[in-house]
Amino acid sequence: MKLFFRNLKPFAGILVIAMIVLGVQAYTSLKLPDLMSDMVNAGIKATNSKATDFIWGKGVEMILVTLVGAGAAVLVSFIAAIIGTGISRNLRKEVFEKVTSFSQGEFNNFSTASLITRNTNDISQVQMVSILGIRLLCYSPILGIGGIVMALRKSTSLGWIIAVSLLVVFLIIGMLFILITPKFKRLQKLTDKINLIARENLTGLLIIRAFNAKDHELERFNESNENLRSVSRIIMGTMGGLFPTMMFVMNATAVAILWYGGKSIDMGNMQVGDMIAFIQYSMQIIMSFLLLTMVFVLLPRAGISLSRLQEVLETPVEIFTTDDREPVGYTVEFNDVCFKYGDAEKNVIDHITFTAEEGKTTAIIGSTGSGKSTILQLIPRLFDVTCGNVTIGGVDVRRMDLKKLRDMIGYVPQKGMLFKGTFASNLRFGDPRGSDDAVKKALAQAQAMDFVSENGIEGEVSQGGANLSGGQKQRIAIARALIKNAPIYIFDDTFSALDYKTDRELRMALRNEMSHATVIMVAQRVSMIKDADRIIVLDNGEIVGQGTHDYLINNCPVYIEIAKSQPNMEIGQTQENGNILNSQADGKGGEINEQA
Amino acid sequence: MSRRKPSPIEKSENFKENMKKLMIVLKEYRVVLVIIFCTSALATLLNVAGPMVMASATNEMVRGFLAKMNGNGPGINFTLIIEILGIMLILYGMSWGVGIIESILTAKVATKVSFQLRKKMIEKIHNLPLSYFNEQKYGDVLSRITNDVDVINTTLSQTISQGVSATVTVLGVLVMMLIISIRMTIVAMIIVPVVGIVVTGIIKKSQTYFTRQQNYLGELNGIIEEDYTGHNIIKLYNREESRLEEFNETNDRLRKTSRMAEFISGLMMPIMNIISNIGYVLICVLGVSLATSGNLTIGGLQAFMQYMRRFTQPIAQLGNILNELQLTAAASERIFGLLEEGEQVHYVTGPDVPVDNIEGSVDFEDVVFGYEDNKIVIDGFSASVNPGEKVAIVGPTGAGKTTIVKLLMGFYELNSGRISIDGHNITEFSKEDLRDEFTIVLQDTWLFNGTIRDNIRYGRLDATDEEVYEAAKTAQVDYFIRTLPEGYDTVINEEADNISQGQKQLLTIARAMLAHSSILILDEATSSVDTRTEIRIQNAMDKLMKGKTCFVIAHRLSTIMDADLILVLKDGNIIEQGSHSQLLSAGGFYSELFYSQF
Repeated sequence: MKLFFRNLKPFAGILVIAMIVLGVQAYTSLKLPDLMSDMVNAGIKATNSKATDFIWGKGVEMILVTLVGAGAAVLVSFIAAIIGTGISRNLRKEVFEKVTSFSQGEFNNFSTASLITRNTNDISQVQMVSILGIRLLCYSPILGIGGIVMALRKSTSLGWIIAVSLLVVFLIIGMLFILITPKFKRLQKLTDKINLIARENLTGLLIIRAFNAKDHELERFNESNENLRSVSRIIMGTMGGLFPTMMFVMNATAVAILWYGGKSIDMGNMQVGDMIAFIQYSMQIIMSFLLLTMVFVLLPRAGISLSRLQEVLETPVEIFTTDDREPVGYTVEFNDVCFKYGDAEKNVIDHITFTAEEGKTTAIIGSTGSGKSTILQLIPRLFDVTCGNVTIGGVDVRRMDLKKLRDMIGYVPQKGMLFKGTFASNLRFGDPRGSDDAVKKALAQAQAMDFVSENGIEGEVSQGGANLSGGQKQRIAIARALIKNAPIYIFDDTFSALDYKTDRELRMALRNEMSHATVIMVAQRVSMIKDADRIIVLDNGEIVGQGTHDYLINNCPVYIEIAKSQPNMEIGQTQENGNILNSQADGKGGEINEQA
Repeated sequence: MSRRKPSPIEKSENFKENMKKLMIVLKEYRVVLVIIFCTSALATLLNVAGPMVMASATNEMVRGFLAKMNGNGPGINFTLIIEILGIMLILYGMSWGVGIIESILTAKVATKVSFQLRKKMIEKIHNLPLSYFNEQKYGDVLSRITNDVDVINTTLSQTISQGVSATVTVLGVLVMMLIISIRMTIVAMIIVPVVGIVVTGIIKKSQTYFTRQQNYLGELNGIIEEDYTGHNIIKLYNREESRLEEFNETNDRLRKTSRMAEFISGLMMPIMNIISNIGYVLICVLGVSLATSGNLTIGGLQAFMQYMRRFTQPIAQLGNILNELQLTAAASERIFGLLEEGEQVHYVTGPDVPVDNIEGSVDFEDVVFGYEDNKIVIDGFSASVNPGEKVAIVGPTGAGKTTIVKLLMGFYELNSGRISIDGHNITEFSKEDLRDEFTIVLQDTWLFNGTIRDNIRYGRLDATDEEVYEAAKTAQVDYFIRTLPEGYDTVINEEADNISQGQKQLLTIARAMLAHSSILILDEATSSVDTRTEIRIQNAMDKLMKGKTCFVIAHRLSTIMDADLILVLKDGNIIEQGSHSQLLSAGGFYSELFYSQF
């Protein structure tokens, strides 16, 4: 709620105007029965033409009052729209800005899907309730209280009837609220569950069919379906019954007023017109409090949304610029680095120390989950180390300007995450001022020209690069890094989706391009990193071997095991391997000979 | 209060037909629906009659009041008043009771219909050919099961009874007004067309803005989704500011449109108020002057006033209801669109071939297949596999490897040709029996939101806990499961991101271990497992494959070198087949593929 009021603040002025206008609106709608009662009273007593003039006068007054009221209502709805949409626009922006500043760690805490929902649905929820709130939450009390005042002016002796019926209304709504709220929560859960099972059924259709598990799935779905039915039946029945009940309360109130009003009239304490007006006022009062309580039913939902937004906005950003030191050179060093996620017990990487020199290629290899990608992510500070430090050119990355740090790194992620736009717009992520020629050159170096040239560099890329294959996405991602012309390049298993041929050609091209840069790459296949200047072997987050291929293949058991698991690495000299090596030498010389 | 924003769902093309389809579903409930109609009408009529009765009470009071004032005749007759008020209370009480009955019945029917629609749709999903889902987005199908059914639910629970009561109210009020005063009714009627025009005008106008708002909202959601998924790249390339600019632009546009949409829809009430109040004043002036001239009783005037108040609102409501029915038609179009899709046919009329003692020989004869008729993916594929053989299918991405195994399992119908198991065309088996003969492990690891135990047991639903543990041990995943805080009872969460892709693959292998079948299909089954673990589970895989006819699709050629038969697929054709050494010495595409691994 604090968040809501803070966001309401810029609209305070306009809100005050809205309140005043609402007052006017409420006054006019209360004035109408009053005018009418005057008319009726006059009508009953008078029979001459003077009365007709009086009635016309009152009539004109009524129309004027109506117009003023309607004008006020229009103004209020305009203001409500301004405030409601304004708040939601500002909230959206605020949350978006905040989330953009999040590092990977915070993203993991919330999960991307949940952050998206918060930035969209939750804010829509707040907008809806704030517009409704201004229109009703402010209006109803004014109307209700005004109605009470006006009614009491007509007759104080009948006031208790209004009090009693209001009490009944509150009791009914209160009971309903207590009974139904938990059901609503359950309804939401069941709807989510139905959604989840249906989604699972769709995504797993092939497996479900293959395992003949259709009946099992139907049973699972229908169990939730049945629960959903019974809960929503109770809710609908109860909510549906509310309307006739309220109608009855209002009508019974009218009957009571007629009875006691009739007695007052008989005793000469009240006029018939006043009684009619009194009935109308009491209807208005009950109606306004009814609306008010309904808004209160809606409020908790918006409250939950607000607290979800608050959670995002109050999360401290862990990674930001604190200093601005300039590195000398671009050698990357890890000094006794550990890292663990949040409160996890185990470190993901443990006491890692190595140096990646300028102009050299450093490769990291290891099994799934051994911490390879984590090491890479520590360099551009997607995460910060838990202990030890990472330095570039002798300066701790945490003491460098974050922008400058990231500007000096050409990073290619595992999944070639692309953005909606064109090939060129994606490449200009790397260099916003890159010329068309620069774009083309980078694409050519990344071996991407063959599929790009079909539509040229302005060819479309759909969201996430969905219209491209995995290998094509990776090549565009490589080109995006190349155009940056960075002194440090990081490849996170970037070549995994490429077929062997393309992979080889690409690496040839890259070698020329990056001869002066510090290159750090993660790979799965030994064949890809054989020619690296230094290979770091990881196992369960620890370095278990470091050196060249030739050294490791003779001295590092884990490396040997990895190499063995990949066929035809020249450890076990089987007959078949011999064959292959020969035919390679015959057939397509070049690179392989050079490496072997 | 329950003002629903006109949703952006496209209006139905064929209103009548779609409503008719909905009616057919509702036929089952016709008795209850008729009762609902009647109760709704009755409740409304009772309410409408109220003011009329009240008028006689007021008249008596006016008479008594005037009599007393002028001193001629008795004062207010309270016995008569009690009688009248008693009638009123009975009327209102009945209206209340009938209303409650109506809402209970409505809730019952609406939830039952929604339940059945959902049930039918999920069953349909399981009976549709897989090809249907090649063209549909999951999100779209899901939204039919949830959102569209919700629309129907709302229609049944609110729109129908609102419609009935609004219609009855308008008619009833009209009759009552005519009874009270024809002259005043004519004046009141002037308002009707004005209200109609204004309401439809506002709805139309606001709907265009709501649609536009929904589009911008979609656009903005797209930006948010894209930027959040790619946030690391945005950071690494220092693009926060330019992305924020783009966001702000759309955000501002959204704000302007939704402000307009909200404003216009907010105009409805005040404008309606103006119209109805002007009418009200006219009636007042006319009524009072009629009353003064003795052509109308004060009670009559009061009743007319109350009717007048009730007259404009249901007219506006009817306009809204028509609009909602459009949405209903659109929703039912989407629901029945799904329900009426052609199912996978089991077109052999004879008795199903029994599946006892299937040995597992598989023959492909001139198989031709395309997901779309004009795009042939598999073009004249033939191969013969003996029981217990290991067959590897290799080839570049998009060559049709996975398609072949899908055809084998009978997920799609062939354009021509024949696939047979033990000499019987697969179409001669019942689908269920056929699928029981297969076990598959896919690259795409599908696990559901349940415990690890239940996920493994999915391989064979009647497997005991011991068998589950055994399977996990063989798949080398038992140790990992036991390190989890809740072991086998650990619930795999919604996005299944609490365990790694490699471990998920091991779980799917364990799941496959439980199934008893004669044919095994491994489609990139270990692609996410690193090569060291792959070697460790090799034993498990061997065990899994033992005595079964196996089809193996693999990227890493290392895993398939020992296959009895290697089929090399390119552009839907087998371009080479033979054993590893045969293919290598042939020096064709396979050897090229194989050597390029270095």
